[in-house]
Amino acid sequence: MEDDFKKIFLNFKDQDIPEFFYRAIFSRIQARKILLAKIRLAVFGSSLLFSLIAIVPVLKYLSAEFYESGFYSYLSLIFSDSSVVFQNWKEIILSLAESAPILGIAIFLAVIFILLSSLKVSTENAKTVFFQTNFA
Amino acid sequence: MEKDDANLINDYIGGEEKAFEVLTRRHLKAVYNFAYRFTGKKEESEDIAQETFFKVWKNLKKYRQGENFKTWLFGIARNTAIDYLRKKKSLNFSDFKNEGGENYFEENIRDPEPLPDEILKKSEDGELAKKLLAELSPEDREVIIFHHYHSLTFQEIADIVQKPLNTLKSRYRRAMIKLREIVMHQN
Repeated sequence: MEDDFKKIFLNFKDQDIPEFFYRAIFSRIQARKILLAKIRLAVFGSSLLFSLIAIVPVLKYLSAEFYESGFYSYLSLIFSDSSVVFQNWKEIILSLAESAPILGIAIFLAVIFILLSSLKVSTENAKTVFFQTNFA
Repeated sequence: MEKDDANLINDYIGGEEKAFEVLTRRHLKAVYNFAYRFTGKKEESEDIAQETFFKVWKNLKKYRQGENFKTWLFGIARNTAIDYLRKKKSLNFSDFKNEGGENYFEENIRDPEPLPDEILKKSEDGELAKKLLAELSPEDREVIIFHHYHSLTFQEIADIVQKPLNTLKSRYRRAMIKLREIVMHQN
């Protein structure tokens, strides 16, 4: 019995797929990719812009912190009296570490990280949006 | 040398755009024909096949290396077909009953007698096969389609429909008995 039904079922042959159907699928996927790329470009483009704007006040804050702490004074010793520095290099290094404007450095590095990450993601997604590649 | 499905997926995730195209071209015909035999309608099959590959693309990163790609793909195709037909109200929730539902015949000893020759002759244009599939419940139909048209083992079908192996085998046996009764009744 099963063999008979196999013969019956085999007569219901496979349908062929026209080429336009493949293109329809790829076009739909491509359209979704572009939409997602536009959304990411909008989000990361904005964070790129904000981080570029934020760099200026962050740099100002960092340099103010840098001058207000003793860090600049210790650092300038290296250029003014290097023999003293070499003799007391351990104490100098500890003093530099202690007086470093950590918060300012951390904020500056965070902004740089956001800027560079946003730039990378924005560039990748801008390529997709403006230079879309089509399936063959 | 032709790459296997898992390697194509890895390549696509790695940035090789063409890999997904190759994967689609390899499997689209099988998915489309599954949908066509399941629904009996070309337009619905096109929508289902398109939606299936769109979902495959969206979920490629969820595919587990080592998993049988064919069963994963047909699982998506089958669920897409069911959802599609439910939205069109061509399918009721009760069409997919638990085991022991009213739609099944009592299990019988398998009838070994072959079908009459005139039935086999009449089936040459494929219309009888279409009618027989349409007569089956969706649960029975999918087992027949996967087994006869896509050469999937009962274990693979069980993985797709997420039912125990013995359940699938029982379902197949009952479907064959029902088909014979339909054919003999029509004859």
